[in-house]
Amino acid sequence: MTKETQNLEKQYQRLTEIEAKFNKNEVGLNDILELVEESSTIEKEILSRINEIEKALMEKIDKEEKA
Amino acid sequence: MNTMNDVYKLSDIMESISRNVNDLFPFPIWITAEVSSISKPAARGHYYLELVETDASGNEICKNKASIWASKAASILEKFKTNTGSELKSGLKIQVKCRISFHKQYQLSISIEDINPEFTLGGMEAKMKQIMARLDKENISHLNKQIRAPFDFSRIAVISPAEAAGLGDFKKDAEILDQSNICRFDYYQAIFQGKDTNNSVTQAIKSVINSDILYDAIILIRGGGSKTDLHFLNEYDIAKEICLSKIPFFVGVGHERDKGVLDYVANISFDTPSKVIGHIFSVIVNNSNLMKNKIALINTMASKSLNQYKSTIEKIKLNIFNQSRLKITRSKNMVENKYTSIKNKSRSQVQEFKTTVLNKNKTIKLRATNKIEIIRTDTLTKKKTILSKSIQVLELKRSQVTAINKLIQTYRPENISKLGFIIAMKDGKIVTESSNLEAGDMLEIIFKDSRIKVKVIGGE
Repeated sequence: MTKETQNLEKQYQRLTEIEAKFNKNEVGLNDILELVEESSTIEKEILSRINEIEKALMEKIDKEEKA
Repeated sequence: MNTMNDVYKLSDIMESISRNVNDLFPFPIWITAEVSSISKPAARGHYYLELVETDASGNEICKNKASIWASKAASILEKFKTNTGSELKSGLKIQVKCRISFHKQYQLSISIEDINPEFTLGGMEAKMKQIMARLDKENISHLNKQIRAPFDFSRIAVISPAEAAGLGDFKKDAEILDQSNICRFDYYQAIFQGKDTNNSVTQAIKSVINSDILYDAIILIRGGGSKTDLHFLNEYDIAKEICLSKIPFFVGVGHERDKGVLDYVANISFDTPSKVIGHIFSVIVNNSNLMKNKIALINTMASKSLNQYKSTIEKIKLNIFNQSRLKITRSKNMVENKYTSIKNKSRSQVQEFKTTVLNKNKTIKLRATNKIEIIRTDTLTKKKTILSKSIQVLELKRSQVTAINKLIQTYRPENISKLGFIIAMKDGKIVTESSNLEAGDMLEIIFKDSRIKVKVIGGE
């Protein structure tokens, strides 16, 4: 498995852990900001991935329409 | 009867063989063989094939040419295609009804008159079952299936025939992922049909596995085709490579109804290449959306938690404020009470002290007045005494002074002179003893009425 995929899976697992912590009300006031920052960092990467896919899809549709 | 020394013409021999062969096969017979090659129809519409037979290891045992004459070709080939879905092509094992003949000029002739497509299908099925049973026996058929499918995809190896029909559709979607740097696809080519399939695909798999790249998955795809086309991939060596691979294999080589050995051993089996790329696309997009949703949920929960904390803090703040206000009010009342109490007590004490001081002052004043009076009286008395005593002393001293004065008057030189005494003075000092004088000293002699100077001449 590539490092990129492993990293993505780790990020997913980390998000699941954070989600579980919130679900169990295990998050202290001091931790909230830290966890939100952590998930926000992951969010940037994920949104970047989604944007890239959307962009490529749009380009594909444009090409197909022009063709 | 032939003997060892007999000599024959070639034609005699060939005619003899021909007779024997024709006697041996007076009518058509069914034979099984593998199509090694088949030519395109000749100008007259005849098909020429090469049939081979191999042992279990794939070694060629024998081979011979065969033909399908134009008059029979259409019906035979159509029958085969209808039943198997495939053209008659090299690599297929067939059962054909043949007329065997030997011609002294063209030698052995195998002329195909009919074909049994069920044999080909049955043979493929039997081979497939045999391979699967062998893989089961070796306890490896489940290995690749048991590998945990990758969470996502970043790099994938694709093994496919060059210019495969399904590869174009696959590539169109794969390029979207490739161009957006989400997932890179490396393409490895292999032969998927014919006798070279086994070796070619096996080598391609080995190339992928032995490369330094850690792929998330290896995809094995080919476009649409018949069951007989698919059968070329039903090879033990290919299946074994997949089973022993540490990388999950996704296979999309067949159709829903035609599952092969590779479908049996692959990590995931798909009907078509499009479904394979569809799955990859779906996993990537789903994961991204799943993670996006998770993050949104985390943000919502974080916001909710913060609001809860905020609410709790507000309550605590209000409680502290109320408690403080209550305590301050209590303290204020207490302080005011204490102040009033202290004030009253102080006032009372000050008053008492003032009275005491006044009383003390009066007492002190009275005592002081008395003392002063006593002292004044005493002083006056003492003053009187001192004055009286002073007067007495003065009187006494005056009497003494008068007496002394009289005495002094008595001893005045003029008074002494009056008594007949003279006074001799040397250098302003009275001379009382002659031993202090020397001859020549000048003396002043004071008489009652005058003073004279005399010179000492000598003494006794």
